[in-house]
Amino acid sequence: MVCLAVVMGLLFGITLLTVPKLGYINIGVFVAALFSLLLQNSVLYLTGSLLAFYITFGVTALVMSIISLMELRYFIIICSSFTGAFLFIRPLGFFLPGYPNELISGKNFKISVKTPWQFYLYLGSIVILTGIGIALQKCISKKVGRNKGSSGHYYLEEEGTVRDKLKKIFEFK
Amino acid sequence: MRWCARMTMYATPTHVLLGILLANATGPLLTQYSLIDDKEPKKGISVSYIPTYSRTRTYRNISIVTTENQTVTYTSTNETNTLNHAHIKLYCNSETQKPTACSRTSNTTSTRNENNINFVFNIENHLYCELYAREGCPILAVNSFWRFLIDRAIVFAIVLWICALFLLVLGYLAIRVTILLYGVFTGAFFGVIFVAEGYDNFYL
Repeated sequence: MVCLAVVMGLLFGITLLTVPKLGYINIGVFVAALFSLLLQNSVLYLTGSLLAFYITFGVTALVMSIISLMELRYFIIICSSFTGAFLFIRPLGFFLPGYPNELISGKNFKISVKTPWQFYLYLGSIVILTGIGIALQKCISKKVGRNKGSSGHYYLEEEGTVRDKLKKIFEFK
Repeated sequence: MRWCARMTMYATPTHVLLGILLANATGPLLTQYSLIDDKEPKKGISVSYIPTYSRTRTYRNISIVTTENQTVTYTSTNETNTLNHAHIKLYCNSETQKPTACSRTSNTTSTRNENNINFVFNIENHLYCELYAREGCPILAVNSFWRFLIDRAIVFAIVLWICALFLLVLGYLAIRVTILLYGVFTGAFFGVIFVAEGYDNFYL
């Protein structure tokens, strides 16, 4: 099962590489899913329904997809830092107590038990680590950009303001 | 049994903690799990905590005369344990949710005989609680994939930590690998969903 999942993952990953715009959208939706899961475990579970989770996921996924199409440098830096922080902290929940299983919390419609206080420590750690990641990547990108003789916008960012990019996204030709 | 094993795996840390809090154990803690209703696992689980904190033994010799007029003597032991016994019925959250209720009985005695050894349990405090909480629900408690992950937690953790470090440091610098990595995660997720369709009760 795991082998098949990995093979499918690789195939999907390679496909995304050939269509980078889809790759950016995938990053946006992935981060939206992680964000919604964290929000679900921290506050949304209090609603006692999955509706809030679905709405949050839908809205954040849409917003992130639109932002991803702008191909902003900071979008990738923030998303990769956030995902990195999540992937770093989440496995700690395999060994330490207090991290609610996302599969369980997503299936409980009526919840009377509060999320363990330890989860908010995990959440805080994710936020702090995200900040560290952003600072680190910004620093590295500037350094690499300086070495290459540019302003650090060495891969993705195109010229133009955010308004121009939004206009470009919603432009139908 | 399948249900029970799953629930035991998930319930252990929470319930042992509850047991320690409720029973105020000072000795070794024995935990027993069973389903409230064998025919309806979703109803919840029943947990017993028996922390033993004192034990006394008395020996006595018993002589038996056999049909061959031989006298056989053997030693029997009377063992007395004094216990704090806590029992929790953990109902799965439901529409018929009731408030948590606990009752306490004191100074009861129970006797058990095994292999000519009399076990006398002086149960000084018997705490009985009925809780209604999501921990009692077996829904998705530990599904096949989750169990697979937990059984190999260290391997998955190392893989995830490597990916995390890469994304934290080189997420933007190596954008192509980042896109590939996100693609692998997404593809693997859908791969698991796809494969899961072939499993019976995969999500239970």
